Amino acid sequence: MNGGGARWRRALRLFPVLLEDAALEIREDWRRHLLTFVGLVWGSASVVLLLALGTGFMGFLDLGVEKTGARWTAVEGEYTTAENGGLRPGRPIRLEREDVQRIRAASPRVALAAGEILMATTAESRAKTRATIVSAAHSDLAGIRNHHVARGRYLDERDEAEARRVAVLGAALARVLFPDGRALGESVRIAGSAFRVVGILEEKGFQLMTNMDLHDNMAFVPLSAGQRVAGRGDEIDRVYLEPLRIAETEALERDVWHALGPRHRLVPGDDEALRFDRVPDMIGGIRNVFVALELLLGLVGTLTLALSGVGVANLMVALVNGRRRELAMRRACGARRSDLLLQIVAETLAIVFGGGLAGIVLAVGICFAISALPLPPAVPDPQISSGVLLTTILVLSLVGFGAALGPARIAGRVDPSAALRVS
Amino acid sequence: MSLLALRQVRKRFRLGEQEVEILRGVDLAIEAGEFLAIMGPSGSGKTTCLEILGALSRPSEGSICFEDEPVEDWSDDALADLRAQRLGFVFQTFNLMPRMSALRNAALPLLYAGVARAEREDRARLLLERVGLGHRIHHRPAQLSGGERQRVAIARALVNEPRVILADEPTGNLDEATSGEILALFEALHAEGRTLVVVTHSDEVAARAGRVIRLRDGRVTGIAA
Ligand SMILES: Nc1ncnc2c1ncn2[C@@H]1O[C@H](COP(=O)(O)OP(=O)(O)O)[C@@H](O)[C@H]1O
Ligand SMILES: [Mg+2]
Repeated sequence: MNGGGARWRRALRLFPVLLEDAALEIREDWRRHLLTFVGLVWGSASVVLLLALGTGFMGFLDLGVEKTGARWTAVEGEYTTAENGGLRPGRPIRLEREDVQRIRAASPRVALAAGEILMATTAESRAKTRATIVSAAHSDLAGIRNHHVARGRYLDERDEAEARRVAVLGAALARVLFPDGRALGESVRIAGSAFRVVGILEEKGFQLMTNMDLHDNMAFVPLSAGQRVAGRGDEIDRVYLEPLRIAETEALERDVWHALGPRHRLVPGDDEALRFDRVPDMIGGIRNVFVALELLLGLVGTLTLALSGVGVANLMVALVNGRRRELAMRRACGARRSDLLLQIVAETLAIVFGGGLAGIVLAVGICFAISALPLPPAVPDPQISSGVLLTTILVLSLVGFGAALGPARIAGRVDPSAALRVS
Repeated sequence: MSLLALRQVRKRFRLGEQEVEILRGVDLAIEAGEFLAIMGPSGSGKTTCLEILGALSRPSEGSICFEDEPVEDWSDDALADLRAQRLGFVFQTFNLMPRMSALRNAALPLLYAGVARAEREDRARLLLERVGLGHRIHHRPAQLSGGERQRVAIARALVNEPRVILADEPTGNLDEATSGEILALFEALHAEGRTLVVVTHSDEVAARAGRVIRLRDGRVTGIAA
């Protein structure tokens, strides 16, 4: 144990001096290192860039998830496949606003619930008319889909109860309809009826699972008002549900079945009658694809770097073979075998990290250049996170130690008596 | 008590199929403060003998004692430490590290002996001054003449205050004038009381030695005082 500690102390004492020696070797013999150096710069830059690209995609995903809301499940009525008390299979299931209440009453797991109908219609201001999609929904929708109000307010329960003709506009739609920027309190005609603008949403940009920046171009009105304008009675297209705990998504679906089964005369097991779109599952699936992508990119980068590591190993073998007498003289001067191993490790690491850090700097520069380019919003910028840097440094260390292995063993076999033998 | 003693040392090398015995039972005792020259024809085993005296290789048979302690069974690391702390070497081919300054070269054994940087540099500088290279400490070997290189090597051999300096044909690569300077340096070291073992072909070197032994076919054949 004591001996082990002494060994480590010796190594720690020698290492910085051996690094200086390595720096001397590299500086004096730089031509010989040049090709290897370029390979390392390229290898480590590709590790950083590919990982950064993966991280960029991942951040893009997270942002898209944030913008669309990640915890909800949407329930829609489909068609029955089972016969039930004289009712034919193939009967359409039409959800209605009361169903939202039924689910709330039946399930303690519901955090947020909103019925919605979507209208493809026009929105018209004094200045402009624009084809748009209008969501008429309970006010819980804001929490479920992560709508944040930039100006004014969101819809509330009184809007819903009194079927007020009020609207919240997506940021892009507000800009189109009210180019002078004064939208709050103004009137906008939706599906032929006048609505008063009470709020403008924050710009969302790209959202996952919508058509890109859909929310920015939509208008949002109370469900009750929307149903009237659309003439759809009590019918709703879907119910958005957000559970208190995401792990209870499946249990929540069972609650929905219990809540809606009697009313819609569903036979247990007729799973196709209700469709559940589970966003957590979808995001999980997409996330797996992205993780796989990042791993793949990282692997490609690592292989590139490993290839330049082979170049380093070859260079070091050649250097060690050309330096046998010097190494033997070090042994004569009192270097232990392990000191020579350490020397080769230090020199290899100096080479690998010299090229590797230059590659990191290069990659950071390239990432800045890419961020400065005007790219379409669906293309994520590469992102150099501390994770990317740490991974790269880890890979560099592995490549360094890997490349040192062979040449260090050759150096360790150099006999001290070789110092006296002219070869 | 002798400083360094070989007892019935044999050294064999494997050359392809057959084994050749280079040292065939060498007995030798070196006293502290002595200036010993080892002579003999080429191939007679002088370098091999010096290797064993310097713990650079182990005898195939027989024993080597350093200050009365047998060291032939010491571990590799222990022998390295012995060289770092108690032995100094000077070789015909100088064997300096080509990328390093004279100062860094001369300080090298102290690194492995565990001496701190400031003291390493102080001692190396002092010894370079001692061998007349105080103005050349930042030069690299390629910027130095043969004689200067050998003086750097001598400074390196002295830097750890060794009990004995072992030299293998130290003037073999030098012209006559330069050889004379190096020889004068050895004499001065001897005069200070240092122990020197010098393998040499040169009668002039031998003439300054306190004692000369001759090797022939792996045996000590003659001892002259
Ligand atoms: N490692 C070795 N393997 C095989 N033969 C060796 C080895 N070292 C020395 N020899 C042989 O031993 C003989 C004596 O060598 P050496 O001690 O160098 O003699 P000298 O220094 O007197 O010229 C030479 O023939 C040399 O070839
Ligand atoms: Mg010889």
